[in-house]
Amino acid sequence: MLFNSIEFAIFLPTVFILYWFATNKNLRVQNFFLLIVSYIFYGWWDWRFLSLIVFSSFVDYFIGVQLTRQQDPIRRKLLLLTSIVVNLGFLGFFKYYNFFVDSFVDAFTFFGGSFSASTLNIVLPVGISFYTFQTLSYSIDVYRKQLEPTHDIIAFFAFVSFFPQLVAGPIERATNLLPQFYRKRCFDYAQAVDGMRQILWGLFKKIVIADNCAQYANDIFNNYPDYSGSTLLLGAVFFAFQIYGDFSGYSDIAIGTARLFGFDLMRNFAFPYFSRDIAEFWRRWHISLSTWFRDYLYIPLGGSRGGTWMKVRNTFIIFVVSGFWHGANWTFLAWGFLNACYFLPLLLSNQNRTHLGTAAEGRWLPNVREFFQISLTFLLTLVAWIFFRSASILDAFAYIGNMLSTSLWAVPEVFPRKIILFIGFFVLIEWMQRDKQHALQLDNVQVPRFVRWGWYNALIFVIFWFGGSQQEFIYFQF
Amino acid sequence: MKSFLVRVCLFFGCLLLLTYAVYYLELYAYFLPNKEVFDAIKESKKKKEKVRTLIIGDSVGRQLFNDAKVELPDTLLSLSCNQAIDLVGQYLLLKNFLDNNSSVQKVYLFYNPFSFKNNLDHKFTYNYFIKPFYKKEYMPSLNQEVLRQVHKIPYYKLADFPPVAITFWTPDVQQDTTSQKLFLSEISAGYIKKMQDLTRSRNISFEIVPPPLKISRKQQVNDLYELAKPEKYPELFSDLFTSYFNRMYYLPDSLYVDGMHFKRPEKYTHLALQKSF
Repeated sequence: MLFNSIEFAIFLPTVFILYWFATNKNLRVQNFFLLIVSYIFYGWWDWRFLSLIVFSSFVDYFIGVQLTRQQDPIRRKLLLLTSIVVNLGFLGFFKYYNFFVDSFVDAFTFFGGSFSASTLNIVLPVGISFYTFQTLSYSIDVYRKQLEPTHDIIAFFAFVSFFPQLVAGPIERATNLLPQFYRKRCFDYAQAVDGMRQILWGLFKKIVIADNCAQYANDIFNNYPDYSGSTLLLGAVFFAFQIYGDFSGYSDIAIGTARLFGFDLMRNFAFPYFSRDIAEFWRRWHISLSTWFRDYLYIPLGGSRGGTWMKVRNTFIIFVVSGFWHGANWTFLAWGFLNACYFLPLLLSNQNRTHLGTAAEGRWLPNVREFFQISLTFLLTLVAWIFFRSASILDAFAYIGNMLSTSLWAVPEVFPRKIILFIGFFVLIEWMQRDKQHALQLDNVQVPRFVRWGWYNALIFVIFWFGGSQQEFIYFQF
Repeated sequence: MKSFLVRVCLFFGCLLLLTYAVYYLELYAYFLPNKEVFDAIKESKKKKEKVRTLIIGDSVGRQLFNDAKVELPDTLLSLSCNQAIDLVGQYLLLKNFLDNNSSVQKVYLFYNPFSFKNNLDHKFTYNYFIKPFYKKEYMPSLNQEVLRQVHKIPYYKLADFPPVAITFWTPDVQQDTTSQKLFLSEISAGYIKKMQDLTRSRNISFEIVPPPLKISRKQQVNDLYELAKPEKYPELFSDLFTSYFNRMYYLPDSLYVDGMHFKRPEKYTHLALQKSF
């Protein structure tokens, strides 16, 4: 079920009413209800893949219980290994099997050999990269004794499949989300209203910004040899806003929806395009994945504690793995590699934690230095997005080559004023609210109701009238 | 909780009232991408006594004859809008205009060869055909195949419901690929015949003319010609499509912004008028 579909518009209020009025007397009943509606939400796409979630949940629940009973370090390690093998095994099979087979055959052919292997027509289960990482985090935390394993099977299954964030994150940590299933939830008016605002802004980002940008980005990337450098630059900008609007829009809707049910999910995006360097960008972009890799991969590998070689190695590992997480294509690996190249100089010169606050804090506008830093960071991410979006690495290089030709200064063939105006409006609102959790948050600001409602209605009509044609969320494929 | 629900209901109630107001005042027609279809319908219902030649057609026709801001003679009118209304929509525009104007002598259907296969089976059908044309006034002109195709699209009954009608929301449509392998879909064939009958009954000449195409698509057009020949509508083919394919002409790819549309349409309006008509 898509957040921007009629089905969800019916599903959400129905579930909300039943949740607060019919099942609120008993916590277990309420959790069980959440579990069932989460399975309905997921099964709407393809009910057959529910078995994967159920199996994955069962394995990790069982391993969690066994980890408390088991004191022998070797057996504990074996249990953890089982969880890792099962979860990554599913992920590897569904997401990477064909990639490895193709790459192996290509490599064999490249060296003059002849080898044939058959690929499979595998359908990638939606959200598999998200929920496998979520369940893995549970097993690892229990193994590290950072989390008490749960004996409440319903709460655990509901935690794994919690519908707002099941298919595209934020990738929740068991330490944050699971305890919320043990506590009796009380309806909080302010939280629910703010959740509604966040949902509205998420829909605006997805339907107006991402879906409109998608139309032009797809056309320009698919026909890049026909376009001038200036249009290609514009195409990269459109893609940058498409992927941001799409993914952060989804996260906003997910977080807002969870708040309606009394849950607090972790923040996933913190206005990343206002970052002043790449390190700051990675603290603000897809936070739940970056911190997952930091905690479960980077730090166990030694983090930045060792010598220079260790830092270089770990940085490349974490970025390349992060790229690979996005999909089975060399373009994603190149995207990760490029980001590692951007990040490394900052890390080696101890500049990676220079910008911890918000840009232009306490001021309306950035100073010249900040403006230059933000623009440069955005340009660097644009180049990386070209690799991310292109069909192959060769296409990405050709795209960049054509973009940096003399026609970069020509008048672009494609210049959709309306979309550019919306992007401008979007950037302006996000800039004004950059110190908040989301762009429609109203903290300590007294605005008359008719103004607020007028503003929300205006946004809804903009969504109605200027929304692009419905596209699936990009991150569903990851 | 109570006050939350009351306020949410109040907010959505206000929103609903607003959508009804927007619907009845037809304000939405100014903003939505399918505005061109509503404009063409409005135009087709007007009395225009001077018009002798009428062009109906797709978005290339609209680019060249409507949006290009090139001055055209009063005797020529273009109701071109979009291929997404399919040939049934083109027929309804033609019928509207001919019912209101008796002075027309020639009708040209300006249509690209790749669009005849459309069978109201694409994702734009909801906004471009169902919303403007699936209405009581047009029902007598819709044949069984049209109704069958429309009824396959989810939520087709909601198309006139104000909160849906004023938006550009589209339900998920599983495209039927059967007609995609054809040159001419059943609906297209049926409505070309209807256009022929309608114009014949009023002694109006009717021709189908191609837009200027990208040179790189020549092979695709040749393949289409081969595909078209063995089809089950020989009379249409000998009558209309032979001259249609004979008139096909091509321009350099660099003049196009995509597969069909021009970067500078105003430069080619007269060329199209000369070559196509």
